[in-house]
Amino acid sequence: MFLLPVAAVSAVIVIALIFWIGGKISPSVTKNDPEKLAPYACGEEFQIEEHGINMERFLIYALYFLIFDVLTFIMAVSFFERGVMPAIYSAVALASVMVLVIARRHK
Amino acid sequence: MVLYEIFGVFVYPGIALLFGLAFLYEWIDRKFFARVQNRMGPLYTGPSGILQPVADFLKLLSKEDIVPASCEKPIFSVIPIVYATLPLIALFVIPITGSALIAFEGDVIFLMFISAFITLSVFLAGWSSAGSFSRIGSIRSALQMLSYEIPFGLALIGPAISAHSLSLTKIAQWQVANSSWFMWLQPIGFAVVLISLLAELELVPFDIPEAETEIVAGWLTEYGGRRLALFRLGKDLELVMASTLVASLYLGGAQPLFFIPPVVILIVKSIVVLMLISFVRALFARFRIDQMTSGMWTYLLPLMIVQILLVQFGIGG
Repeated sequence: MFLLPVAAVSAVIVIALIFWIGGKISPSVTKNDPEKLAPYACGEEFQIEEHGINMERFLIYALYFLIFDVLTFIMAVSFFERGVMPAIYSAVALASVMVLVIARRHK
Repeated sequence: MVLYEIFGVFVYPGIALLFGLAFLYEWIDRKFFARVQNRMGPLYTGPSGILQPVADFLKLLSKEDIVPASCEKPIFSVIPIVYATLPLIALFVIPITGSALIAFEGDVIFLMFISAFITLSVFLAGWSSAGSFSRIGSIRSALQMLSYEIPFGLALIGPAISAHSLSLTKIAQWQVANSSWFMWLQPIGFAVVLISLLAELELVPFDIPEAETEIVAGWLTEYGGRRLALFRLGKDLELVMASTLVASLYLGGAQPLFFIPPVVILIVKSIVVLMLISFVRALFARFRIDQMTSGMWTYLLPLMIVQILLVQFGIGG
């Protein structure tokens, strides 16, 4: 267990070393013209606002995610309990998923 | 003792082995994918192109390093390193040689955390590069995570409930001791874990965040040179992570067989999983993001909860 931070840090170091070596062997930027440093846009001018993102759907799914992630975690840490109680709990979870899905569909 | 552990972290079963597996798996994936599509795949570098992923990696590493003017530079530079490191750390936990390098009670939850964090780093990568295409790609990847993460987590927990442990090593050992694989005991869980790993790896039916025909390369659009090289390495490591995870959770793990070392068994099993993933990738077309989210919530999550219910009633382990 104490090996985990050591291994994680050494993984970061190895990857950062590869990154650094890449910086060493690659040619330096030859020409700093704005064309080259512009974000890719296929030669068109984009406004960021034009690409509407359905924020409502995003937030709804974020809320579902939050609820069910907690639920998953509870199921994960109660794994040693078997029998009726966890089964009822899972059944309630299943019912709530179905209700959410059906409610979304009829809206 | 310390020397042995340093050897473990850096060589076997640590970083060197994992890098080798990453490049090997990318080659197998590309070759198999190409053969399914009646192409030849990589051919020239090494025997039947086996060194092509290494050559591609070195080529990308030595390319000119361009940072767009509008991006947030600190995040833009750090994220490739984070993205390549996270699957590597996750791979330390997976019992590749029969016993993991780092095994502790609860590493299934650790894996769930890492997989969520990988998607978070994808979101940051797209968001920090401040191009239109990368922003759309990063939003899509976040939305995708909201939908596949919960079936994925539950599919990891199904075997844990049966094996009475949250440790991957113990789950694999349980399958060896009872000589039955969770693939046969919990077939729904196996299907769900494969589908949600396809979404996690952004492979073809779910490659919505980097859909080439719609948004150029999605969140990867602004990256090039050594940064792109690290993203490619991270993707290969994720491929290794996914296939070894499925092999050790659902296919019995590194079980000893006659005189063959357990590592070889696990690698063969994970290559079978990898080929399954490549085959699905070659067969399907891309879903839309709304089809993907509603499909995951409508079918995958209820199915997975039904599987958990069955397990709790004692059916399937």
